[in-house]
Amino acid sequence: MGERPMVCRWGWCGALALLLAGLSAGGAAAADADSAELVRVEAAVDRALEYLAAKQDASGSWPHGLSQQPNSGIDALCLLAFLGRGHVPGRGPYRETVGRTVEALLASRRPDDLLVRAGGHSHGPMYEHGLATLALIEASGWVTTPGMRETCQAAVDLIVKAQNREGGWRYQPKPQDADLSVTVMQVVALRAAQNARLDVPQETIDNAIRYVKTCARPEGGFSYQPGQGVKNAQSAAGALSLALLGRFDDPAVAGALESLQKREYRPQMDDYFHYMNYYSMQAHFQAGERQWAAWHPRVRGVLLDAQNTDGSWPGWGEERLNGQAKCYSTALATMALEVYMHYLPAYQR
Amino acid sequence: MSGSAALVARWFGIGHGMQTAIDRVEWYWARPQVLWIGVPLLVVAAWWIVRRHRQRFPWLAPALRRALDVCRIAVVALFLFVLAGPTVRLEERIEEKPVVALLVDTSDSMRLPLGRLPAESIAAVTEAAGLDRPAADDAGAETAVAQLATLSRADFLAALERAQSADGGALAEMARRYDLRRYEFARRPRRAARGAAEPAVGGESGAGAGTSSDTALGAALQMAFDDASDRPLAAIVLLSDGRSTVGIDPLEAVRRATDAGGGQPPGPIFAVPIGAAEPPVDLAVADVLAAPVVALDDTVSVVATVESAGLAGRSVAVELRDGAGGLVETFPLVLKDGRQQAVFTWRATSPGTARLEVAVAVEPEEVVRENNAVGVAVEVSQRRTKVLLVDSMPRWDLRFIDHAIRRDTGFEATIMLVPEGSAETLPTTVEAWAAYDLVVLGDVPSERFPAAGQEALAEAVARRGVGVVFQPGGEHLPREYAAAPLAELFPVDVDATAGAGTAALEAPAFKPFRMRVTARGSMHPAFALSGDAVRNRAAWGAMPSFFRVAAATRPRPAATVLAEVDAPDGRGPIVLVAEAPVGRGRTAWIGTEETFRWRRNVGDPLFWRFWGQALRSVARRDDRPTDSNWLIVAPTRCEPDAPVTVEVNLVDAQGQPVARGPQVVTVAADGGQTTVELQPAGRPGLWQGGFVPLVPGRHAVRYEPVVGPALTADCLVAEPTRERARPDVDRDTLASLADLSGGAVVEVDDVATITSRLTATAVATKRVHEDDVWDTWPVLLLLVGLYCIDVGIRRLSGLS
Repeated sequence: MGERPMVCRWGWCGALALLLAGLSAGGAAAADADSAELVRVEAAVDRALEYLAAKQDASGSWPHGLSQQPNSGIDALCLLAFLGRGHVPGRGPYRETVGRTVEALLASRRPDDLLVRAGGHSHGPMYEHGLATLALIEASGWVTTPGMRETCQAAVDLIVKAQNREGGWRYQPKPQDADLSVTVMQVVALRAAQNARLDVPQETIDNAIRYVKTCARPEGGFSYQPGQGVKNAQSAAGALSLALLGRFDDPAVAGALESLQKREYRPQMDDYFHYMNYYSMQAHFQAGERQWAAWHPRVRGVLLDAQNTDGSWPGWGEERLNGQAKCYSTALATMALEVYMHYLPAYQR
Repeated sequence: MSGSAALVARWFGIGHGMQTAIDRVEWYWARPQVLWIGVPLLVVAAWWIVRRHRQRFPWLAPALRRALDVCRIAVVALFLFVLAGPTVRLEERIEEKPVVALLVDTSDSMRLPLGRLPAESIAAVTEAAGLDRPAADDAGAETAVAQLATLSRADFLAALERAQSADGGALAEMARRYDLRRYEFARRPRRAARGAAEPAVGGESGAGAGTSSDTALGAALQMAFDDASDRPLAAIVLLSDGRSTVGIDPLEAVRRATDAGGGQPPGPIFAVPIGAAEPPVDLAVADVLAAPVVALDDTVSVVATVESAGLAGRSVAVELRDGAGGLVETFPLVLKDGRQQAVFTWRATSPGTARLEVAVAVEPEEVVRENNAVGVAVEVSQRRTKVLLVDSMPRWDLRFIDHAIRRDTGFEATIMLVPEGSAETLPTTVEAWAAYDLVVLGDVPSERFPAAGQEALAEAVARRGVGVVFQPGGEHLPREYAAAPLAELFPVDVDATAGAGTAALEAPAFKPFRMRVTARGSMHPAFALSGDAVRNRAAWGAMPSFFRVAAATRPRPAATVLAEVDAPDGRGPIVLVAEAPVGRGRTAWIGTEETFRWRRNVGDPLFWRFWGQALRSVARRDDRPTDSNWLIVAPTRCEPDAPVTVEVNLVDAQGQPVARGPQVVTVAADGGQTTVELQPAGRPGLWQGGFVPLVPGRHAVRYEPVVGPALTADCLVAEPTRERARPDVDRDTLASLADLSGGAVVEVDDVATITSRLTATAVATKRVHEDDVWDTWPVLLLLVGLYCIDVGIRRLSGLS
């Protein structure tokens, strides 16, 4: 505890310096390249949201390639894409779109508190549950529906209960085995829960840190499960997990980000390129200005160039998750670009 | 028309306007059908009158009888004439010329040298400005470039205006085809007679213009738009360096005029940049940013923005100095054109106000030497501000504030969530509330906040100086508190019936609310980004729009409106941010729960800048005694025209608060002495007032109490240096104005082409003048005369 004020003070000083520098430049130098790029980013995100809004069905769900049934995970990703642009429930042009999905996710709560749509295809329910919990917690800042907060707390409690002994999570809501891919989704949801002042046991956080660190590789980067090889998407997920769990200065974070930065950045660099982008943008942002500056222009450049004229993004290696419509890839690409906007509370630095 | 004819015409109701165009005046009958029917009847009636007179008065002398016949027939004819409505009509065709507004910049920045113009255009430029043409070789062009480079922008502008106003010039042609109106602008705009004056640079050419150490380009545009509201605006020709340092943002002025015109720009702006495109050689400290309030022993960053042009590659030392002039830190910088940051570390070692200055040495080639140092004041507090944040749910604003406030070493925050139906209740005693310096109340349900607790909070504010910030939401506050004790603390009146009983207003999805910081708000600590009010307003005015506000219809007495939005139905502004003194404390109102949008693209800086500063400005400050006399002037340093507040606490010989007025302070400055009447301010003994210093210099404020020594305080008023902070021509602003209005940026050598780009044509209107000819004194006199003759003949002849 004795160290904490110093960290806060110097952290604040550094953040103030860097951010005020940005503010000062932003106030007067409207014509600099970054400002122009930000305008492009906003326009791209707006086109993408138009695309997503047009694809939503009356029940508040979005189509995907896994089945014909609604999927809470896909719906949560699309909802987060709208929230990330500041389109919150009850406000603005997408109030109906956002409201329908919030209602649908609330209604998806099962007796065991799992947030999985009835009859919906579940690609491992904890993926969907983690994403749906995150989306609902973020939306709960705007929704006064009775039971909203209680549903969020119940969803968080389920995550807490499903954590295994090593501190990770796996596809099913049972404390059995674990992998980093499912774990990162629960970690982000827990971080959002802390932000929203929901109850999250410190023990759960400590155990999660322990598990994520076991996936760190000595050569830099993270593996899908302890002892396996480095994967780009998992490096991003691991770095973000540790940062959100408060270990942003852990050497494994810098190692993972640097291992990512050494790779040639292109859609073929990972089978889960969109997934990787989403987490890598957040992870680099959380890691501070130097890491952020080294990464975000690459992602921005590729995504802005690759956007289809209808506002969607190609699925690349994840095309099978898209199906006919490209909602999955569009939502993830949108969220990757929305890191610039700093709107989602869960991802504040 | 001769004098006598004019007199007769006037008798018959033909006015001067018609007389001057008598050849075009038409006669017509208003009721011609009366004539068609009446004239035959008149003939019959005349025959009947003659016959009857002959039968009844055979003994009357024939001359008299004929006179009688004539009188009677004339009277009837006259009635017929009147009934037929004889009228004269003049149809006029009036051609209204469209307006061309010529806006001439006379501000201080126009004293700067013109700079080096491109050699290839120098011949055309000198020709446009009526200056000596250079020799037609490279050496001649170079000589002319060098000569013009040292000429002031104002002198060049005067030459250009003179040349273009001569026969064949663009302005002369505009004056022929259009209603050319000339405006000058510096700190204030004014309409100036054409050709009446050379642009008066430096000293202002007229009382209306004020001093010239600022440029109100936006206000000048607004004046031109308003003046031309009665006819088409063909164009605005703007002769300026593009700098705007006070008043409404010029782009905003165009946007407002466009909105007022239903989306149609008011008229094209042809902006003629006066000054070279290449910025003059300059090195300036553009900005210094530091946290306005820090805790004692904190180490904080001071970030200076250094801007340079034409000095790339040169090494300079940027220095941070403390109030006593002592060097705190040096930051070496290798200059490159544009903006660079110098970051210093400073430790707050003693409480009170610390004045810091960032300076960089003047380079020999610099054109402007006044912009090499900027000062900043930092308040060093001895203790942390204790804050209680209460809300019904974790709204996004609260989540972001939660993070930021924990990083700010000046605060010690406690957060309470009191959702509807929860067991949590808010404090109910004055002591419990007074444990905090500030309470931030969000959308708190009234069932969790009993009346006793509200009354205790009101007392804690009034007597113990606790500050309260209200951030209403859509469910509970302010709707459930319309008649509750808490409402007494609101700095605004709320329309509880608005928004179908939600006490909130929603903007249409296609036209969201846009925050507008008021003039008072731009200088308020909550919105302070720099000492420059214009930049503050511009920065906050550019914040993202939002969709919902609490229905705060008007400020309460003594409240200050800091920001507002336009009501969705167009019925006046809605108060968005306001604050008010309540006894010893203050309360503030932030009428939107969407301030998280201010994070767009930058994250915390603007968001927390506002919230941190707003919380600090409302929180309880070090307790000032209420049982002694004191006088405070705020701010202690300002610019001419900025409002200064005077606050005085007065007690009598028994130590009781002085509640009886009037109380008056004197303000002495170089220009003389004035008095300021103070008004009671919230609690007995506290008096407030204000004045607006117009001239630079020390303004000594003095109060002579009945008991004890005189109370004095100073406010140092200094001219701003922002006019010269950026000596380059602001072509971006000029281009934006041109784009937004459908005009163009026109270089000096192309000025002659402006006339050909104007498309507005004169509007012809028809005006009809009509005068009744019968409704006149001569007709009446004729009637009366005929009647008198008739009566006279009858009397003289012994008829009845």
